[in-house]
Amino acid sequence: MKPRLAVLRRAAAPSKFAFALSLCAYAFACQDWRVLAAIIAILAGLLAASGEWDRGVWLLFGVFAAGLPTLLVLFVLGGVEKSGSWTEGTLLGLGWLGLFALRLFVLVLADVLVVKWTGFSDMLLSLRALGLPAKAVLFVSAMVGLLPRAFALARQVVEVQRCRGLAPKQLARPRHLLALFVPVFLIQMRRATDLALSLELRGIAAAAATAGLRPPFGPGDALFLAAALAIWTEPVLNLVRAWTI
Amino acid sequence: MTPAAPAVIRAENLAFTPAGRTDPLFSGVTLAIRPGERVGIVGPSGSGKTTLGYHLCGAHRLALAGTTAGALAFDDGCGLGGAPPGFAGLVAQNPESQLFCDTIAEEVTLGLRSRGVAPAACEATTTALLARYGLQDRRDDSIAGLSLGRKQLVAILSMLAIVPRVLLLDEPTSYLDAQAADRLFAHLRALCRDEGWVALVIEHDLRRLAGFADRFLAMDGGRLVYDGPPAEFPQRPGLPRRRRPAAPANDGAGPALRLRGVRFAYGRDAPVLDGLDLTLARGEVVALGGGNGAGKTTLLRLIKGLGKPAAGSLELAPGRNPGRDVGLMLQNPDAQIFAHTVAAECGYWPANLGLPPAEIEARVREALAGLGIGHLADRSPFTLSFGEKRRLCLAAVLAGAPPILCLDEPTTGLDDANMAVMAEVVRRQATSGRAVLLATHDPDFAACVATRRVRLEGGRAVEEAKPPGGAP
Repeated sequence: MKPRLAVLRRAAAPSKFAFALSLCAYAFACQDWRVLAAIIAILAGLLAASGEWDRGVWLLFGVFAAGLPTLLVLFVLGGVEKSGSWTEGTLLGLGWLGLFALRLFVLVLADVLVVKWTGFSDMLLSLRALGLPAKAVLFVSAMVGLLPRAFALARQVVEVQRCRGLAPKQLARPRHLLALFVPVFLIQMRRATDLALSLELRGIAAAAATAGLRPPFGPGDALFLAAALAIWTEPVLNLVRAWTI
Repeated sequence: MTPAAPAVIRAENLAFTPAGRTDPLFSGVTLAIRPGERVGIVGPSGSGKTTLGYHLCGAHRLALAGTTAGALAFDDGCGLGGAPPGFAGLVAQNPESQLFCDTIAEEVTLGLRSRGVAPAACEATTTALLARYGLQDRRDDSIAGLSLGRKQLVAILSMLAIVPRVLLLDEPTSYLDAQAADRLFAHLRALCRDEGWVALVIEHDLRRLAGFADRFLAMDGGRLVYDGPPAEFPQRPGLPRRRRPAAPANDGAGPALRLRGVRFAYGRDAPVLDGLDLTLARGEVVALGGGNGAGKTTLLRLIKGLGKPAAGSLELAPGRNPGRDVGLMLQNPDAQIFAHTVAAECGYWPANLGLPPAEIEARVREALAGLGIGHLADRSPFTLSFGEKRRLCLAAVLAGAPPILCLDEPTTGLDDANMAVMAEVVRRQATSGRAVLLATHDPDFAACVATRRVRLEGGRAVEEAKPPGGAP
């Protein structure tokens, strides 16, 4: 089955990285909330259209919502400190928080988009193509997969423990947490060794010419790079105008 | 390809001593392997088969910590420091730890792409391999959602794709169904004959291996005790076929488990189980067969309560609940151990049942002794061999004394002797009135222990047959 938005998804990892990097930098340069909101809408639309808007993405928003009260207090206090009254300060703080939240969403969604649209192998081979040392690439590869694999493994271990009578509420006890983290760590170490061996035998660390690994430049790459440059058009034009005046 | 061709692998008085030990794990190995040879490495658990295999394919420096002594050469170049790049491929016992990518096609292609092979050639190779193994329509499937058997197949394909000169497969058929295993061995045979590959296969299923290999290397106690054709290899007696548990008597107590019209699907995928009916009586051993991805593991998980059927009903005997009364042993023993000692691992369920310490200790002792691993009680379970871990996983389930046992591929990684122990344990459970449902690809084991066999196909139990021989 052909993946949705295949043209964009098949673009090389460096093009996607360049796009995300440019977008993240722009989010902090941009002061207009409407532009940021539009970027968020586009990114969310692309994620949804590609079928990658899953529970993990919702979880990120959940984490943000959980931290919102603390952020609210910090921003409102900052606003009050800058202005003369509580009312003005609160409004100022809320404005800052809104802008901050929009920038954060741009950052998160751009990164999620790159991660979801880039296969591990693309990431790995792009790093090799950039000429990074083989051992460093193996290390990065192991690290990239570490978190999702550790989570999957932890879920597996909890499942086995539940099969042997562990009640969910017992998980909060330190003794049970230890019985979760120690095996996950040990199994992860063992698996990382096996994986490194498998990748090394498949030539990831071989001293082959890295030029051969460079991905072909396709329409997706052109679109990503064009978008990465296009978002800077207005700021650059403003700069030029200011300079000429 | 002729017997006179120069050896690809040559070992002379080869020995390996693991780090932290003074006695070698194996020693005195002298042999030469020529292009096109199909070598089976056999022997009991812990005899040094895997360690020898890693040396013969030159992966020892990458995978093992210790000292290699003697002489080892690949194409007459010194091999003590490992094999040259591209020389060898290796598929280890645990397929889950060797897979890196998101999708099947991505995984199979990775080795080719990393060598700078042109995209069109990568695509052609991958497509041909996937088509050969019937995976052409699943190329974009997520690896995370595959059955362990399919994961094993993908791990093997990812190594076949890189066209190594020597390929080491450690228990390659442990999770594969018979059809996939036959297909794999036929393919390997052709590659050895036509391309001069050397296939080194570590396998407990000697009958299947004898049909593939043209040479057996038998290890025992760290020594190479046999090097010759399979036909002359002294075979041990197989599993005793005549000691199956008797079919359960109808005691009027009703079945231990009844499934009616069970339907289950992962997400929006096509249903794995679709209208499945199955009844399991007390004292009965039902062997569940079917190809990779047929839904065997899914069914066992549903019975344990790790998922809910989308439709249909799954009923245990009155008063029973799946959490307490169903014991599930999963396929991969590496993913089922978590305690600091073997005894603690085995006593985990009884402890969660709130039993007194003396009772827990008694259950642990009995379960471990029953599977022949009583002497390992104080060892860390992570240091056990694959076969020992497998037996520990079963002991840990038996210690909970559940009236229904669901065992997923209980014989994986077991040698003949341990398989006989496993068969005896299963029979004993049935004789004591427990209902046993086991998923297995091993027809010998099924014939040895099962009172009934059910085959899953298209999500249903489509075939039931009495094992040959009849109950005693």
